[in-house]
Amino acid sequence: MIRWFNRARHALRTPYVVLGAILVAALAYLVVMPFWEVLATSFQAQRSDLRRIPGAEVGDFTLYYWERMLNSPLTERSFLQPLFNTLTVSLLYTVLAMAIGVGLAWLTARTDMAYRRAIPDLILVPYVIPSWGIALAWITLFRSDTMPGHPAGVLQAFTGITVPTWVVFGPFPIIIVLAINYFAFTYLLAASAFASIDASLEDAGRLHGASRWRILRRITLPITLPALGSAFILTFSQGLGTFGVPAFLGMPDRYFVLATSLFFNINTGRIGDAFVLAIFIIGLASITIYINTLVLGRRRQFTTISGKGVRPLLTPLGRWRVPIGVGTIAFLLLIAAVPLVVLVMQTLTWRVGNFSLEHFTLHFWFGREMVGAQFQDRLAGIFYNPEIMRASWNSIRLGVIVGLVVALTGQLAGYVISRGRGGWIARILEQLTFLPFVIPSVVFGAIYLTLFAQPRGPIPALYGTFALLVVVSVVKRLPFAARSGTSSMMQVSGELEEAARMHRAGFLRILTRILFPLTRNGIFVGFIFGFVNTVKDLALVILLVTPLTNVLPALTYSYTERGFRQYSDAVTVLIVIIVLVGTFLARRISRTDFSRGF
Amino acid sequence: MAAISLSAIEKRFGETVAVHPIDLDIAQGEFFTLVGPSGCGKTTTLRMIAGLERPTSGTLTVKGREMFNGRTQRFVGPEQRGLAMVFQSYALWPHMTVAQNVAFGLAGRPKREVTERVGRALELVKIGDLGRRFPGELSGGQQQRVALARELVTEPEVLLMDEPLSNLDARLRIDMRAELKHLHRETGMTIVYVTHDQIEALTMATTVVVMRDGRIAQRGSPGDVYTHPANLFVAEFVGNLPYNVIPAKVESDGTVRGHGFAWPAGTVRAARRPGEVMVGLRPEALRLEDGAGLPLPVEIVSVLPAGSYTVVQAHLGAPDGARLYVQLGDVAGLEPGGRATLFVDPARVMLFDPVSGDALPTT
Repeated sequence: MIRWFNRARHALRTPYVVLGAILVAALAYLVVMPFWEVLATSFQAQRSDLRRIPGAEVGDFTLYYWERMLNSPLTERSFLQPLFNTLTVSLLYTVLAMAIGVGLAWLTARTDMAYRRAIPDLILVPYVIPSWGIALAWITLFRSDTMPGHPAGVLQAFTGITVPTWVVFGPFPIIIVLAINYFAFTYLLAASAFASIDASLEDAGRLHGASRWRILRRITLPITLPALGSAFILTFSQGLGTFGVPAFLGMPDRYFVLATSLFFNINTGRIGDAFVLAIFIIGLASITIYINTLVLGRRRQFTTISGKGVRPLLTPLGRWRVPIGVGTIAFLLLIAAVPLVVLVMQTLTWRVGNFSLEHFTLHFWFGREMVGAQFQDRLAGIFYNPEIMRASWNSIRLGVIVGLVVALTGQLAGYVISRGRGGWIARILEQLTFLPFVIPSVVFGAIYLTLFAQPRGPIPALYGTFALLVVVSVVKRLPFAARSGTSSMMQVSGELEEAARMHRAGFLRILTRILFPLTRNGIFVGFIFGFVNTVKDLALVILLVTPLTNVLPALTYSYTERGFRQYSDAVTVLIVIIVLVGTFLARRISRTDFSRGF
Repeated sequence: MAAISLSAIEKRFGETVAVHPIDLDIAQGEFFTLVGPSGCGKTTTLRMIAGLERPTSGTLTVKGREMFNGRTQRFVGPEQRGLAMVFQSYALWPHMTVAQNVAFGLAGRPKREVTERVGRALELVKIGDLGRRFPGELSGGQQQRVALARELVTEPEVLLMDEPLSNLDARLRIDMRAELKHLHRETGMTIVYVTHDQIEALTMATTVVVMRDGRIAQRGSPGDVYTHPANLFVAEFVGNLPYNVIPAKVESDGTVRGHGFAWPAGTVRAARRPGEVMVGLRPEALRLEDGAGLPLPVEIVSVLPAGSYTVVQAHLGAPDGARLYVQLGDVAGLEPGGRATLFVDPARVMLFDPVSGDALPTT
């Protein structure tokens, strides 16, 4: 008895055990339980469908939804077509993103291309524009008045060229826009693979008289292949639940992917159908991630990171060195600049589609509300528009709070995972923090919408509250934050902590005086990441916001639906500005405040 | 009362036993050194004393206060033990200045007192002018002093040190040994010191415990451990030059006979029972000039002058080819290939059981 008591007391005094238990419990409640409830709900009769399920009461077990999705006349349209579309789009945009990303990575890491050192920074520039913002710009750029119900786009207005509808709506633009959004992701993964090759492996090949091409084919590629395969799979998995781009570019053309189909079902009250789709999306994402671990599992034998600073063999580009370098930089700048310019141009035109100078206006930025029959859609410009101002404040608030919470939670989770390494709490926590990665944003939104509509245990009904937005955003961003937290905590030697314990420091003091200051770079990265992605995220919050808790991305969506193109584009530009200013400020603050020391 | 007392303290990591149940009593004011090759359990033992490692079983008390009890599983954490520790890596917090590092343990005291005590601690380790620097800007030796000052500032009664000098260069290490020894005498602290360097153990300790494979191989004063090793492991581990081990036989009349030598009965005190033995000799227990020593004819292999003394490598001409190392002052007339007779002080001859390696008793 006393043994048991003292053991328990000791465990309760071991910080990582207590912290780990709290985090595991929280994640079980916020991630695991919702997932099980989704599964259960998909087998339960909903009130709205009682008419169609003979003799069933609300909550009774039923296979109705599964049957309707998988084996009914509706299957083709509501399930198979979106599934096929999802796979097609994901596969093709991944191929395109890989081509660009791996190509750029090879050019910067393994050739003597001019200006290649600028690429790693430049590649992140397009990243400040949300993917659906690029989709909006795409529409604004390419649409033409030959499409029913559409005004002229920038291209038509300035050149008279019109493009067919399939260029503007449907799978083609979705694939292009997603590729533009994700090639930076494949670049980062591929660049680290190329950079980690031990050059002496290639040198050994050269000493054996192998040609450059043979070295690439027989040594370099086989070594990097698992990493590149992993990059492919991870990029592909991101496409399975992607919502914003297919929502803007697919839905007007009735081209549905699983995520937009799920959204459509939720919006029309078909919770059961939506949850069946949710389970399929999660299942597909899980399978791809599982395949990824298989691919990476083999990679261990290829781990070739060596401490030696041997310069890898750079392929000379000869007289193309400068043109290719300039072309690459121009490409990256264009990809960031063109969408922004197009969006800004739209916000400066009095009437959509008319870009002539006499229609130039600053109304959509600085104008006051105009009342009167002919000004029906002339709300105040964004700086005087209470709806937009409230959403801006909500977005900034949400981004800052989520950034802070997720950065600190990530560090704490990292602390548990690194200190408890080998123990079961650390292992469970590592798995749990990763779980949100396979649950796409819109699925998360759908789940939280249904589950938190009513009180759950001690938690009151959270629907319509700002807190719900914070919770869902923190959970969704946790996989990255926990990983970055783990790697930064791993770098803090246990002795630094032990030395403080020898000086009677309690855990709180160790945390605030030792651990957090030492991992502040990781915390900062976690904050920026959390802030930027939260401010940009449409899919996660689209189902959860209310007029009071509205945030900018959701507002863009509703303006687009209402046909207020200048407003939706202006709000998109506003988001880009907030992201840029926020990143800049955070950098400044972190430099001035924390830069003492090493 | 012992300052620190371990009774049947054991540490297992899963299946592997890091420390077999050991008993240790560390008296107030001792400079107590745990020494042994890496993996012998010395650091684990120190960390169990500190409270950074939880023992598997046994009891551990510090100044009479029970810190761990395997039966009740009572365990007092390092925060509450009131011990101080210098880490091998120094564990200086890189984001704090030297003064902030040192002041960490004085939290909650008035600012004036903190400043004054930090200043005094830094003076004590002779780095009074480095308070505003960051650890990353200091040399290894300076960092070592900061780590020491950080512990001294709280005026601990017990200071634990885990290989504190192992990251310093050889010259600095000699200086620091002298300083630590001086500090120990000045402050009267109990110091528990872990090292793999037997010279450190011999030069500084009042009590040495040699550990091997999680067990105590010998405990004693430095002189004792050096001249009367309890077994061949200790004999070979301690000492700068290799220990000389010569196979021999104790005959029924008490004569100790080996290849080329026969020492009469009664000269070697440990030779009581007939049988195979190992004769153990420190390199400096052999002399060239004839005293009242036991003769040992050898053939010289090489002569290695080392400045203040000369090491001579020799062999007995036995078929096993065993080499002897002899430390001599004057080597006039010794040439490689030549023959010589060395003389052994009988009081310094040790006999070991060839199977167990344990020393045969001399009393």
